[in-house]
Amino acid sequence: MAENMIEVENVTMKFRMSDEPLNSLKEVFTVAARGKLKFNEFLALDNVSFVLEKGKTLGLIGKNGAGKSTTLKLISGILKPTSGKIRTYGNIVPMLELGAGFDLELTGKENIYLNGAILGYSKEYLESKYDEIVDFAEIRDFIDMPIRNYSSGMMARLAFSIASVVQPEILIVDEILAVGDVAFQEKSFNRMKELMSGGATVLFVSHDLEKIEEMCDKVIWLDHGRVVMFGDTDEVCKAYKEAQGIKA
Amino acid sequence: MTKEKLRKIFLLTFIFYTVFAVSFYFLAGDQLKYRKVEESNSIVEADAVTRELTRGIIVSQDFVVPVDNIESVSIVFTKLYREGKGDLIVCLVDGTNVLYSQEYDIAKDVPEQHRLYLTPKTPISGYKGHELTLRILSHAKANEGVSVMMNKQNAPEGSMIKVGSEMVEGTLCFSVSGSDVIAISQYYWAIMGVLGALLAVLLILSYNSYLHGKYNYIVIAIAAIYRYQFLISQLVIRDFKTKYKRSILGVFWSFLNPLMTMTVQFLVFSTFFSSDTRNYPIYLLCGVVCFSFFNECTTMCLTSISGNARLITKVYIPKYIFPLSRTISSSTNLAISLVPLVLASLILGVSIRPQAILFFYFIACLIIFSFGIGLFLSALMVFFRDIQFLWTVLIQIWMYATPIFYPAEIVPDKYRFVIRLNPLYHFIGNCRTVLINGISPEPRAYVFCLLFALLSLFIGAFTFKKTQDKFSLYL
Repeated sequence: MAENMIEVENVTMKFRMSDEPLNSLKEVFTVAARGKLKFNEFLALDNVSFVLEKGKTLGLIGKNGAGKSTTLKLISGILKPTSGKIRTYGNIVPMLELGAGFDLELTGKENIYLNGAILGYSKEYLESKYDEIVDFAEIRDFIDMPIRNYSSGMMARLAFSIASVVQPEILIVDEILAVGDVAFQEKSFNRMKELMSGGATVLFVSHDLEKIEEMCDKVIWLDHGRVVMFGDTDEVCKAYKEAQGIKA
Repeated sequence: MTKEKLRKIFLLTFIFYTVFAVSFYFLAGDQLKYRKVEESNSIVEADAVTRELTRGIIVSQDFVVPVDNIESVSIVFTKLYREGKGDLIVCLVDGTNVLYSQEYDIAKDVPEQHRLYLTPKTPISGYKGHELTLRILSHAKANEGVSVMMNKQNAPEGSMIKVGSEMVEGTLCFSVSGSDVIAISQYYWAIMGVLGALLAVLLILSYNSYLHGKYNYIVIAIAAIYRYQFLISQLVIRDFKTKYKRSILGVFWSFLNPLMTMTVQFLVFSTFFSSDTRNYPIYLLCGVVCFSFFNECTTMCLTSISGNARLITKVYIPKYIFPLSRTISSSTNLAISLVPLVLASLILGVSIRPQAILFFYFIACLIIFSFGIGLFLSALMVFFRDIQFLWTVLIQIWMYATPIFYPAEIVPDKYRFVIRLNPLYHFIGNCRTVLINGISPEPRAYVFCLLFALLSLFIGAFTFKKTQDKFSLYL
């Protein structure tokens, strides 16, 4: 039996949302004074459980607001679940939003180190992989330039290169394959496949069912925070397509 | 982290403690053993004078010694604005035994209605609570001698002055100043030894539990810092590079800023305060450097979580890393601004003594204190964005409530407690003492500063830990 890399057990995630945004003291006081301080609870995930074995790729599908991103954030540790347990075994590289740690004033080189550090790479590792990152992103000529002068495509390429240089045990991907021009998209897609074949356990969110079918071993279908279906890719995708078709 | 690394860190901690404990004993010197008694140094306002001291008339007054070690006695004379001529002898007498006497030349040594100091070569000790006699005599001719200023109205009940053979009610205008023995410091080695033993036990227990796979708070904290040191260093480098990017003078501003602030304040305030304060420019610069650090550090920490919202909601990083890295960046800045402080001290004639190394103790306390406040503010900022505006006002108030450009002595006695409760007053005040006066403050100053720092750190860390899981929901 393959060992489990991710175990999600009866996870429920509630967000407390007030009717009005309460971002300042004044608002809290005035709203409380009017006796209107009410909170609506929003159930982002409702009793979700699944396990993922080592080396498998899991696709997450569902409509906007179904809880896909919340699940990824819970697994990568950014959010803490309201109840339930999440266990992960191995280092996680989240490719949730690439380049979140970029500083526009710094040069490309400085940003490689900064962003690498944020993703948890060691100094020695970054030094050894530095050339690989620069070459993959195809920005060697601009590497000593502040990245505020970069085009958005260059920035995205650099971000993807940094994030994908590592050999993670658990890789979390949230629709980032549409990066750069067509040639680079192809290149990055191949890189992703390379990472997956290298034994990484992958969590993958996409609205592109074709990609899901191509890459995933298993698929989980979420709707309004509940698991509608969890199983093999063909089965779930077929059911999902039917459901979409009926609604459409 | 390997166990060798941990053992090395623990060993270094213990060695550092030992070196500190031993060197502190020598650096602190007499300040460890004796406490200056400030209160005893005041002189009553004069409302009368004795008759002129001529041809061997003796004026004497009995008094109870207020301090353990008498370092000086000061007496106020008047020559009635004449030149004066002849000798003046002042002695301290225990019954019939003269403890110390000093002879003065009236024309040269005695100032008109200012203190004349009687300073024994070695302090006179062991008379606290005993009655001694202050005896003054002169062989001056009439109209060339001096009179002692005295007070009749506010004199303590029953105090008498003996002038020649007659007794006069009242008290002479004099004061005894000196120091008290700090009883606890004779146990210095015992106390430091016990603390050292406790530290050793704590470290050994932590190390043992680490070997058995159990992590206590100390090990967790060290492991976290060790694990994230690369990230922290990158964030600090980032802060530093972006701060001065696109400015022509760059890092030079870290030198210039405190100097310029000091110059402006010096020009504005020197006429009011410089006469009361020893080496006023350095006094000012020291205050400016310390307070700017506090200001910069807390303000930077304040936005450290909310400003990195994009990162915090996208990647998992321990959140305290952000205020911590900001604190380290501002500390680096502080270190740079110490260079102009040292240079200015040398140029303006402060002789820097070995005691100045104690400066770093108080700076360390200041940094920990600021980090604690920073943690607290950064957590609060996530929930209430108003804090950033409130804080600019609060820090303004705090600046005026701290003796930075004015001497602490101008604060009226009844408000002195406000100043005493202000941690920054202690940090800055002690920094000045070790730098400008080159002596260690009394031992309890160290304890106070450490307590303030740890209290702030505890409150900050507690608030931060309690609220950090909710951050990503509010960002």
